[in-house]
Amino acid sequence: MSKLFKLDIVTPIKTFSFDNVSYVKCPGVDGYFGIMKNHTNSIINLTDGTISVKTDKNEVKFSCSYGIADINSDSSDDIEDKVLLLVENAEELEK
Amino acid sequence: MANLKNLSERIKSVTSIQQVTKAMKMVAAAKVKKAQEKMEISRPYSKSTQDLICRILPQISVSDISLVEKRKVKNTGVIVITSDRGFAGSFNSSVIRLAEKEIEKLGKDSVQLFCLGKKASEYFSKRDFNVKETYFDFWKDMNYDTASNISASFINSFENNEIDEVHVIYNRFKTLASQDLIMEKVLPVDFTADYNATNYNYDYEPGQKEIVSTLIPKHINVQMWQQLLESYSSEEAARMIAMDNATENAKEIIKELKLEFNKARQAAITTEMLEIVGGAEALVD
Repeated sequence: MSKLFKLDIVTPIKTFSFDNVSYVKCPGVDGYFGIMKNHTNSIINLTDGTISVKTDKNEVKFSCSYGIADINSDSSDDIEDKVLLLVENAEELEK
Repeated sequence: MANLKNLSERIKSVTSIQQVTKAMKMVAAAKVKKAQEKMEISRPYSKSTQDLICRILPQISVSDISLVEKRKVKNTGVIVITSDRGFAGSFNSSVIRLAEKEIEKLGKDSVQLFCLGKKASEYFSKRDFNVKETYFDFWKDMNYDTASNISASFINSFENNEIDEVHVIYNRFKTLASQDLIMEKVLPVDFTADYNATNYNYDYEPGQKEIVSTLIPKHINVQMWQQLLESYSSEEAARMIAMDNATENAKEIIKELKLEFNKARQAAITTEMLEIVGGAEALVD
């Protein structure tokens, strides 16, 4: 089974979509946390910080302001696997 | 001869007005397109936010969240969205007219106004209305923070019990040729909770209530942002149509003036020839 999942970073002025993501690190209210395939379904508040997205090819980093993460990637149910990060502001960082 | 000179000057001035209106029309057309794109881009965010709130809301008690709770209405906040500049047909006057009518209905003393755009700010400040806050000169470099600032201010008033309901009056973009004049309630927020949403096992961090309480202000921000964009697109569309009409009218006037000019020129030539012929005949006699 593939270990990749879909990720959308949605802001009011831009949307970043990734198809083949292996790992995302997000700034949660209680500290940074990582999301991989089959993460339990969760909704988590995010705070200011850096989001790092690891795809099968490269790694991209974003700075973000506070937002929310909606994680649907539990294999035990039939919702489509998808991670949605709703943030007010996201800016891609220079590599 | 004075008539001829007069006419040619008028033709010249109408032609230059036509050039200006034509240019303004094209500028407005470009701006509408940009604003529409922005509107499209903000939709996924707004939709996802709303979906999330509707999903979580059935699981908690609504009375805990101040922005959803319905209170007895004593004072109302009204947000009036207009533009900074004119030349847009009846765009501003129709918003102001509706606002005045609604304020009359709610009672002038119990309404606090939030005026967006120079036109509303000037109109209501001069006329002894309860103007709480005015915002203008932001349209040109409007960004998401503008919307957040505005909504933060009325959310604050709402939470301090200064106002018990907030309405917004603005032009919603329909097509390039038409706008809908709309009055919407922003606070307290109405959600049709989605009780049918299957509740899979979700982990909430920190808790459902906290998540919803942070989501709702965001939802209001993005709504404000969209309303600003709708109004901005409508403004530019209205301006485009107004300028198009002006250009057409100028064309009409130029046509009429040219006809008159040619007639006058012809008349002048005829008189001149008659004079020559008359003079020659007098010599012969």
